[in-house]
Amino acid sequence: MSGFTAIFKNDLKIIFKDLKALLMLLVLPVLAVLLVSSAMAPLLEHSKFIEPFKIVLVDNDKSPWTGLLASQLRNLDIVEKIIFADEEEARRLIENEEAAAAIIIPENLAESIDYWEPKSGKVLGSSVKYLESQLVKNVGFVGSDAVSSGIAALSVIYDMETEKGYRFEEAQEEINRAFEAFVNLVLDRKAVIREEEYDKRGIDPVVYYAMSLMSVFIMFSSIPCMKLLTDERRLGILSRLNAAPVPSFHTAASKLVLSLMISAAQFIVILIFIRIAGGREAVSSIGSMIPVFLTTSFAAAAFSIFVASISSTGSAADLIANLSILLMVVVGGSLYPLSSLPAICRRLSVLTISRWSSDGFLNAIYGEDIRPILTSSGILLAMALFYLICASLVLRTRRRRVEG
Amino acid sequence: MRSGSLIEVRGVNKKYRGRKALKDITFDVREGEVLGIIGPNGAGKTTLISLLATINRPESGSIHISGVDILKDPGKIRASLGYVPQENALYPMLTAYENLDFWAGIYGVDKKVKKEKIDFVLRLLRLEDRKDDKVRTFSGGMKKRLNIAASLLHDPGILIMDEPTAGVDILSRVTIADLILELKKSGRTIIITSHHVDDLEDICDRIIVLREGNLLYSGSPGEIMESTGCGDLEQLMLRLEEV
Repeated sequence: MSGFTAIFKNDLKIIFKDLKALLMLLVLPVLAVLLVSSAMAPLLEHSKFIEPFKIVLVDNDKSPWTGLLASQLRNLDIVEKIIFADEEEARRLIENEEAAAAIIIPENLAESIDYWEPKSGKVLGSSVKYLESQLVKNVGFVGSDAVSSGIAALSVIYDMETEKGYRFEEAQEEINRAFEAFVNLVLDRKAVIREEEYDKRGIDPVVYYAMSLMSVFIMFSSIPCMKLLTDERRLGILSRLNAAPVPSFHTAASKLVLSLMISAAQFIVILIFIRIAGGREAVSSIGSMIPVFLTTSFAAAAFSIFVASISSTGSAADLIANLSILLMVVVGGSLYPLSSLPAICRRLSVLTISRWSSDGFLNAIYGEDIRPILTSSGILLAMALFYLICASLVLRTRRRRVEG
Repeated sequence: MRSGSLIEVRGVNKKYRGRKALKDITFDVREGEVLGIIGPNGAGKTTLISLLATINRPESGSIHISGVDILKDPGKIRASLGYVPQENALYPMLTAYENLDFWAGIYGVDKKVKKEKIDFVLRLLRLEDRKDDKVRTFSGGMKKRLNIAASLLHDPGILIMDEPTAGVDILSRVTIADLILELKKSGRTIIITSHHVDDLEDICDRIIVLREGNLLYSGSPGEIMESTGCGDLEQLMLRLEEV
C-alpha cells in the first residue's frame, strides 16, 4: 500500500501545481450549463426545434377561398407572418432569407375546382431553410389532398345523381350547394387530430442540461490525469516503476481515484448550482444519481487511461480525448436530444459514454423506475472494464518493446 | 548457482520486433563486482538490462539473482535492485527534493530516515544546492546525476545502470565515475552499459561484449584486449562498429 500512497500523493501534488486548470474544471461546467440551457430552453419548453418563420403567399386567384387558405395558414404555430407578394418578389424574399418558402396559388384555382379540373399550385422552397421549406411543402400537400378528397366525394355524388335521372342543371345546383356546405364545414373544422403535450414533467432547462452534460464534464475532468499518465510514460517513469517493488496497476489506480475525486468536486459544485437555480427537487434525487455518477466517472477515467495508453505524447492524448469527447457530445445526445438526431446517430450513440450517462442522470431525476438507472450504470461499468482491458493490453505490448 | 555468483544468467533468448535481440546469453556476476556491458548500437545492451531489472521477460532461459528466480518471482528481488534507466525518469515540474521524496516512497524508505537519505544522496551527487529547484531548470548532466540519486535512496545491493554518462558534461561524467568507484568500494554489485568505454576500463572488473544479440567476449578489460588484439576498448568498439 505504501507504493500506492506514494504514487497518489505525488499525483495529487502534480495536479494541484496547476490550480488554475483545476479551478477552470469547477467553474466552466456551471458557465456551460448556464449558456447551453438559456440557448436551448425554447427547444425544451415548446417541444419544437424550429422557430416560427415567415412565408410568402402568391395569390394569383384572389378568390374568397384563397383568402380562407391564408387565414388557415396564419393559425399555424410555425408561421410567424404571411407576406403577400407576386412570384418575383417571393423569389427575392427567399433568396434574401427573409422568408422560408412561398406558396403559389395559380389563377382561377377556385373556378377550376368548380369545373372538376383543379389547377396545380406550387411551393417554392429554400435550400438554406430546408426544414422550414419541407414543413410548408407538407402543409401544402395536406391541404391539396383534402381538396382532392372533397372534389372526389362531390364527383361521386354528381355521378350518382345523374344516374338517378336528375337533370344536369338540377344536379349542378345540388352539387354547388354541397360544395358550399363542404367548404363551410372545412372552415368550421372539427379537429380530427388534436395536439397533446407528451412530456408533462415540467422540465427545467437548467436541470435538464446540467444532467445531460454531466458526463461531458466528468470526461473532461479525467483529462489532467490522462495527460499525467502519458507524460509519465514518455519520461520513462512508468518503465522505472516497472522495476520497482510496486504492482504496475497502482499507477493507473491512482489516476482513477484522483479522477474520481475531481469529478466528485465537479458533481457537488453542479448540484449546489442546480439548487441555487431552483432545482430543489432534482437535488433530492441524489441517491438515484450516485450509481450513475460513480459508473460514469469510472468509465470516463478508464477511457482516459485507454487514450493515454495509445498516445505517444501528452499533446496527442489531449487532442484525441478532446475530439472523442466532442464526438460523444454530438452523437450521444448531450446537446440535442437523441430523438431529434438522425437514425445513424441514434444507433451510434449506444457506443458512447455520454448517451448512457445522460440517460441515467435524466432517469434519476425524472423517472419513476429504478431499472433504467441500473441499466445505464451496468452498461457504463461494462464500458469501463472494456477500456481498462484494452489499455492494459496496449501497455503490456508497449512494455515488451524495449530498444535493443 | 556457481559459488560466489550473485547473478546467474543462463541461455537467455529475447525477441524484439520480430528479430532476435539476445541469443543464448550466459554469464555470471559475482558479488561486489562491477560488470560492464558494451557493444555497438542494437547489440542488445538495453534489452539485457531490462531483463535484469525485471522490466521484461525473456522467451527462454533463466535469470537468478541472490538465488531467486526473477522470472518466477520478480517482486521478491525488486526492493534490492537499484535501476538507473537511460532516460531521466524524473518529473520536470517537481523539485529535485520532491522527485527523490517520490522515489523514496516507492521503495518504502522509512519516514524517519527519509529526509536524511535524500540529503545524503543529494550531497553524494553534488546537487544539495539545487534541491529546491525544479528539475526542468537543470542541465542534462544534473538530471543524469539526479536520476542516479533516485536509485540509491533505498541502499540497493545491486545497481543496474543503463548509459548513466550518455550526453553529459565532463563534470557530471567525472562525478558519476567517482560515484561508481565509491559504490564499488562499499561492496555493491554494479552492472553498467556505456558508450564511454574508456570510463569502463578503469571502473569495471569484468566486461562482456555484445554484438547483434550474441555474447562475443567476456573477461577483465585486460583479458578482452589480449584476446581481441586491441590496444584499448575504444579500438575494439571501432572494430565492432566497422564489422
